[in-house]
Amino acid sequence: MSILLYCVVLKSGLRQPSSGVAGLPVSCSECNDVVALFSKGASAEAWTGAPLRESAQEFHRALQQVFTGGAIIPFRFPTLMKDEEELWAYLQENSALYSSSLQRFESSVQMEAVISYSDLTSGTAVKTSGTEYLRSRQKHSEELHVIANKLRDCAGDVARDWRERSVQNTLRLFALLDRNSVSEFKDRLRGFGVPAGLTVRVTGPWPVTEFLELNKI
Amino acid sequence: MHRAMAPVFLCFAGFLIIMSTQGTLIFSDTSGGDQISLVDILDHVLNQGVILRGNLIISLAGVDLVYVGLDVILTSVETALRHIAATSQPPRQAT
Repeated sequence: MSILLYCVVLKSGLRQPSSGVAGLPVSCSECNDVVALFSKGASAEAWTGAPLRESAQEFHRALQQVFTGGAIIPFRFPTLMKDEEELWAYLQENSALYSSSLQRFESSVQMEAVISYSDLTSGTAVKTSGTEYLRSRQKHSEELHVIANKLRDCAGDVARDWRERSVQNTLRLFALLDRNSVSEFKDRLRGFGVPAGLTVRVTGPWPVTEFLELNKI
Repeated sequence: MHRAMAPVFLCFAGFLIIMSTQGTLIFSDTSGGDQISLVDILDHVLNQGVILRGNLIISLAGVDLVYVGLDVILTSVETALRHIAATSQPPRQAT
């Protein structure tokens, strides 16, 4: 027997999903003011028998049902523990940190803007030398950061905070905003002039994972 | 002579795509399973959120074969967990 963890949520904002991965029921484990959601399975086969993408989608749907009710701190899929006792012990040790993070971001969501070159070969064209290649990478990186700054300006004060991550020739921007400001955020970005050759893809709202201090949990 | 063109709004497979003579702006949300790409879902469920660091032991016939760091196995978790499911020892990710 092992259990699959979904997320931690404040007890007051709990909206229990109808079912979890592989159609398994979702159970709760409470500790102080936080609740951890999990599914019990006879074996790991219960959630790995299906292709990973199906299980991941079911996991995502379960998280989304809870997330519509309030802030969540998701576990990465698949996070497994031996049994409820192990989960209980873990919660006892960490519930205060989870609680403070959930309260801090209770009404917040995260939006993501992925800025990339429309032409996949733009940043990876063969260069004659390593130096040239590195200069090209630096130039693309600088261009993406210029666009990122313009995009931040376009969003204005709707976003309370930002994080960013560079992955090869892509820049990922994460905006922290109030749950009620998602429409306004999108409206503002609709007026953003994306430069030629670039694509900006906006997704969300997501749980505020980029803004959590996960290393403390 | 250059003439400014109005942007074209397309709705394709649940995505709102704004195309102009310049770059492309795409909006998608997470409200429905059909309206968000599988790539986004996989990225978020596999790469975002709490990770409980620890080691995972792959055993066969009661013999511990491989010790791997949790971060390492995420990309091949399906295969790893199938190996584990075949044994009596449940997989663990614990601190």
